[in-house]
Amino acid sequence: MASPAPRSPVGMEPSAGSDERAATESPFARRLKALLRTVPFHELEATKPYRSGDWDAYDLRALALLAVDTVVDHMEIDRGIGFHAIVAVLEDAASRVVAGRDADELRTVATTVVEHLLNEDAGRSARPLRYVDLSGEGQAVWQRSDVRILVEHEERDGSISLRATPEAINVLVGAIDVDVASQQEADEVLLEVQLRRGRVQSAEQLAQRARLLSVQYTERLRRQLDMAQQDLERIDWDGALERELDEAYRHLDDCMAREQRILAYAWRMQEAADTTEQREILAATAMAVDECLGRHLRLHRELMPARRSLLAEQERQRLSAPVSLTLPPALLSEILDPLLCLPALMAAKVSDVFTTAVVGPITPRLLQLDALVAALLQPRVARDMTPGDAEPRVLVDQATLDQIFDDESRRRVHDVLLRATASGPARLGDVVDASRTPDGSGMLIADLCVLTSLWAYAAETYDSADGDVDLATAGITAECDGRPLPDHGPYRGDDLVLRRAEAT
Amino acid sequence: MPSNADAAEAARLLRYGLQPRLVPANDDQYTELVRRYRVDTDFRTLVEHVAIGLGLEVMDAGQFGVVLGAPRDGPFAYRLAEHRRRTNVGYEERLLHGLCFLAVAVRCFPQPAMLEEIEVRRVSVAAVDDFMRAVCEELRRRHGNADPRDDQPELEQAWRIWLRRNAVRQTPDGRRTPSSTRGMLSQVFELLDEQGMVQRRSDEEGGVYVTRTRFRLQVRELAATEGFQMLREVAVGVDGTPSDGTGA
Repeated sequence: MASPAPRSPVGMEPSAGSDERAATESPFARRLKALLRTVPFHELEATKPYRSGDWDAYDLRALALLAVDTVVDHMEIDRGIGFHAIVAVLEDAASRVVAGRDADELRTVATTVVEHLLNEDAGRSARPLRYVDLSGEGQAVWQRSDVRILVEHEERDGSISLRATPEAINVLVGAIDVDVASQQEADEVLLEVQLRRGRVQSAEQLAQRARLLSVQYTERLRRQLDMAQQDLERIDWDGALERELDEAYRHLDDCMAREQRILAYAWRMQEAADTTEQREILAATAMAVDECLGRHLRLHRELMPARRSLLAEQERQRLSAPVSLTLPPALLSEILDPLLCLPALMAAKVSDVFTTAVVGPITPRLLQLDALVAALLQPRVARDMTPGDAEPRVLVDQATLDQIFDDESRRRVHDVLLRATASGPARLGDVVDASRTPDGSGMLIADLCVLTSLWAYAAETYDSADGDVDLATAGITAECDGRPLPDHGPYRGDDLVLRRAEAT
Repeated sequence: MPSNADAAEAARLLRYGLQPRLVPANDDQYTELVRRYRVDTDFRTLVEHVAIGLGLEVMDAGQFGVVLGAPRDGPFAYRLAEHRRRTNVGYEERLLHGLCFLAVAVRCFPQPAMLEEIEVRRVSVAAVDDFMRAVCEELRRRHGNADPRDDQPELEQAWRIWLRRNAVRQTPDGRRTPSSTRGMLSQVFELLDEQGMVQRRSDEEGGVYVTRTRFRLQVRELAATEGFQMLREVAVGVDGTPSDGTGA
């Protein structure tokens, strides 16, 4: 069995488009990759005819885009939209296109769209999409780009919510692979200029884009903080995080100052605007910028304690011994497969260890002696046993009974019992044995013999109007002499002595 | 030298850890204790020693709370017999129960790298059962379908035991029996849910669940390594040499 491979240190997650690799990519490759990010959307639409049901009326691409839009709208540093909520939004949207469709179908369509964006079919892994960069001079080779659109995360309060990946947000901001922080700065500067020049239409577009970029930036930073907090011992501490955090502070300070300026300007312009249309556009612009500002403020607040605790942790780790960084073993090939090939008794030893480890601690339930004594000494509650209060329980309904025991079997049981008791008392155990056949077909008769004898021994109160339950007991009585039934077959308990009624 | 107050705080943090569904974000005191554990080396050492004394092991403490391990000889270790309120449970039942946990973990994290990813995974009773059947069928294909010896049932290979159980069995009144593999998986998922490791999403496919961070940490930090070590120890006993990963 191979020993676990060494675990490579996990560094800061590269930001979309701003890592070194992206910087060396040709513009051609970057545009090609931007196209690849729309593949999951087209796949949905293209596979529509192969799904069961009439899905022709649904625009799955539009529903997918709406899903990403809605997820992005709800993305905050510590919360987002949940799975059921996004499915409900899509169900509602789908119902606006096709009236009168079944609610189950709408839910299936909505769930399919969300699960496709999560890449559920491939176990939620990233989609590996291949491309060739043809911009260079030399030999062109196939390369792979991993695309993810939506992912699900556990939030700090324990809720689970959806998030759009930086690639997905890139699709929304114009399918260009951008460095979020610098693009945001550029956009906001341009927005300010456009407003000053009175180009409100393009100012609004820029504001909407700035809003998306602020979501993207928040998400990027959040992922980095999450990774750092969850995997502190695996972080490659070379000061990268500290630099990132300082950089984030500066960026947020700049953004907020600029956004406040733009906001003040947009409001002034709105008051001075000539037409209602202009006023509306400016109001929308101001709202989008205001949302950016709010998001950046919250992010700024969040960064402060995170930075403090991360840096304290970093200091502690500098002083403590280095931890061994190895990958855990592969569960499928290194544990499950070999385990399944082991003899059961030995395999159970291994599975016991795995079970205890994975379940974690279970708090033992302690017996509280005072509570137990109090419970035992409590006088019994007198129950009102008046018949008729409780609904009689129907264990097996008459129709089922009739299916199992038809008239023919009742007649046979009658014969069996009368024959067995013809020359004196008979034991139920013997009757059961006698009614069995080697091929097992006599089991039904044996069952009915036992039931009939039990009925003869202690008939329940019943109303004859309920149906023919008296079956074959007419000529038989049964009593118990305390001897157990022979220990075989499905029946347990005391044997019964059967007699003909006229013989007693 | 830690004070009495420090000792009380350390024990309090472990008490929080024994409530796996509680997250620090919903409790200020818990948040503060986790923060202190992460940055105060003396406090961290104290917590770890109190844990050892109690029969616990601290594996992680962060925004999702304290993740604890329960060594098998300690009072907090999970025991199937106690859970079923019976005095003893046979090896076959223990094995199937353990295979259920392992199958859920494998289905969620087939590659070691996935244990490093913070994304939530979706998994269902039907998907895990289908997956296990496919794995066992593949083993049947590799090992042949020769019947095992009747007088030594404990030597029967584990995959045969999984395949012998029905996937689904229903009682005459429509309830699913816990002895079918899907019935057992349902129970395993319910226990994982109680332990704050998965969250139920819907009733489809016999029950759809999503994983919580705690499950990933528990598998990554403890179960995978300990299971692997035990496997190696046991495999030595089977053929006299350490297992090479191709099965005994």
